[in-house]
Amino acid sequence: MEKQQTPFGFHKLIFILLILLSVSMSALGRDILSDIIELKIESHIASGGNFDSVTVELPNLTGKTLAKVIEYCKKHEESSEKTGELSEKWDGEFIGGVEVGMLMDLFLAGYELKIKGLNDLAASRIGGMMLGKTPEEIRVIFDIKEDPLCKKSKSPKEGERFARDNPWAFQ
Amino acid sequence: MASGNLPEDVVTEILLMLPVKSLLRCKSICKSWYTLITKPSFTTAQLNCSAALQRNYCILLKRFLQESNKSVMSFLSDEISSDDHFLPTEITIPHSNEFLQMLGPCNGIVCLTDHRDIFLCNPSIRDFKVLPAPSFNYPQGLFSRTMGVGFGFDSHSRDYKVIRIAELHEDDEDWGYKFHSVNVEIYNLTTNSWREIDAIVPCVWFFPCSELLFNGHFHWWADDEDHGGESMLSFHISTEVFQQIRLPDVCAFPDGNERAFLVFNEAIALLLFNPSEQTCFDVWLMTEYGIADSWAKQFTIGPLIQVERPVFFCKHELLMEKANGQLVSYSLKTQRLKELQLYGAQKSLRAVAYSESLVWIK
Repeated sequence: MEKQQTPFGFHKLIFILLILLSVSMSALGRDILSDIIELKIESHIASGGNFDSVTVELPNLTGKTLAKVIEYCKKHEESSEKTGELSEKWDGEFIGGVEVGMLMDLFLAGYELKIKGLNDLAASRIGGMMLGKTPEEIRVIFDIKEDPLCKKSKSPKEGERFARDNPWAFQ
Repeated sequence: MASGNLPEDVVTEILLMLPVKSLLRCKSICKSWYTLITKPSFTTAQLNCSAALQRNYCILLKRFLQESNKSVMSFLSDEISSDDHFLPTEITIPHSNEFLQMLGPCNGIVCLTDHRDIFLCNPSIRDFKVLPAPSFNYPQGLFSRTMGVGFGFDSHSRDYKVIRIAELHEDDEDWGYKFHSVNVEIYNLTTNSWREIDAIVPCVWFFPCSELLFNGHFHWWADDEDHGGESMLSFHISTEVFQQIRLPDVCAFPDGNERAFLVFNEAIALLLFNPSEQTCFDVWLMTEYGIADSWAKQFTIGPLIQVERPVFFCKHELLMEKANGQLVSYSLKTQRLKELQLYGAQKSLRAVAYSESLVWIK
C-alpha cells in the first residue's frame, strides 16, 4: 500500500493513480479509474476533509480485482437508487462465485478502500469457508507456511498441547 | 496476492466472524494467530462483536441425565422448535448432582451450584473452576445453610461476583436447629476469596427458576415482612445494595403455587402455577423495572396436560418441562405445544440466553 498526499486536482491525482496502479493497467477502462477516484474523494469530503489536499491510499490490486470491486459498487449504487434495499441474493452469488485468491483480494480491497459492505461480505464468506476445516486446510487458504522456527518457540507447542487436551474443538 | 502476511487488524476482522470453537482450532495455525487469539483485547473484541451483531446467540440448556448420572449442557438454536432432527453436543459438567442451578450468564460464563458446591463455567471453551468454600468463623454453636446463590459481572471493577445468602442456625434440643440470622457473603473472582458484607436482608426461598440475573441485578424470591407478603430481593452487582420489590398481592404463600422468574419482552416475568395433571400458568410482567406497582397480569397459558413447569421464554415460544422431564415448546402465537426430543430428570432443566465467548476463568 502506498500513500500520497497531493493538492486537489484531477490530472495530478490520475497521474499518481496511474503510477500506483501499474499492474494490469490495460485491463482497466478509464471510467473505472475515475470511479475509484470519485469514491475516494467523496469519502474524503463526507468524512469532513477539506478541498486543499486529498490523501489517496490505494492497495496493490490487480485489474481483475478492481473490476470486481467496481462491479460490486455499481450494483449497490443502482439497487439503493431503485429499491432502497440491497439484494442479499446478488451479494451471495457475487461472493460465492469467486475463488479463494480473489476472495482474499476482494476482502483486502474492501478493507483498504473502506467499502464496508464488501469488506464484511468477503470476511463472512472467508469465515464460512474456514468452518470445519483442519488447521492444515486453513493454512492453505491463507497461504501460511509453517514456520520451522515455530517448532522451537512456545506458541505452537501450546497450540499442540491445546489440541491434545481439547480434542472436542477439533471434531 | 500473498496472504501469508496479512496485517493483524485484517486477520482480526476475519477471525471475529468465526464461532469460538473454530477460533480455538485456529490457535494452532501459526504463531502470530496464536498470539492474536490469546490477547485480552481480542477476547474483548469478540465479546463486543457478538453482542453488537447478536451473533452466535443461542440457548444454553442444562439438564441431568438419570441413565448416565451426570449433568450436561447443550447449545440449542433459538429456532429450536423448527429443527426436527437436532441432536446437540452434550458437555458434561464435572462433579455435579441432579439439582444444579444455572445462573447468569455474564460474558459467556455461568455459575452452577447445588447450594453446596459452587462453580463457574464457560461452556464455549469448556473452562471450569470450582470456587473455594466460604470459611468464616461463625459464632460458637452456629452453622450455616445456603438459601440463595447469585452471580454477576461488576462492570466497574471488571470482576465477577458470586453472592451467597446463608441462614445461620443454632442447635436446638427440641427442633434440631433454630434460625439465628441471615449472613451475606460475596466471592470475588480476582481475589479468589470470600468476604462478608453488612446487610439486613429478608429470608430468601427457592424454586427451580426463582433465581435470576437481570439488568445488572441479581434476584431471589423472598419474604416481605414489612407488608406481610412476598417480594423479589434484588442485589445490585456493582454497588452491592439490596432492594426489595413487592410481588403482586395475589401471591400469598403457601397458596399451592410455585413461582418462576423468567425474562419476557425484556422485562421480568413472574409465572404462578400449580404443577398437576393439568397446569395453568399465570404470567405477570413487571413492566417498569423496580416498580412494584407496575406488575400487571398479561395472560394465562393452559391448562396444559402433564406440562409441569416453565423453563425459558424464547422469542414467541415458552420452553417448558413435562412431568416426565421432556422439553416441550409452547407457541404463544398458536397456543400449540410441540414435543422436543430432549429429556432430563424432573426439575433439572434450566436454560439461559447465551452468547459464546473466549473468556477464561482465572
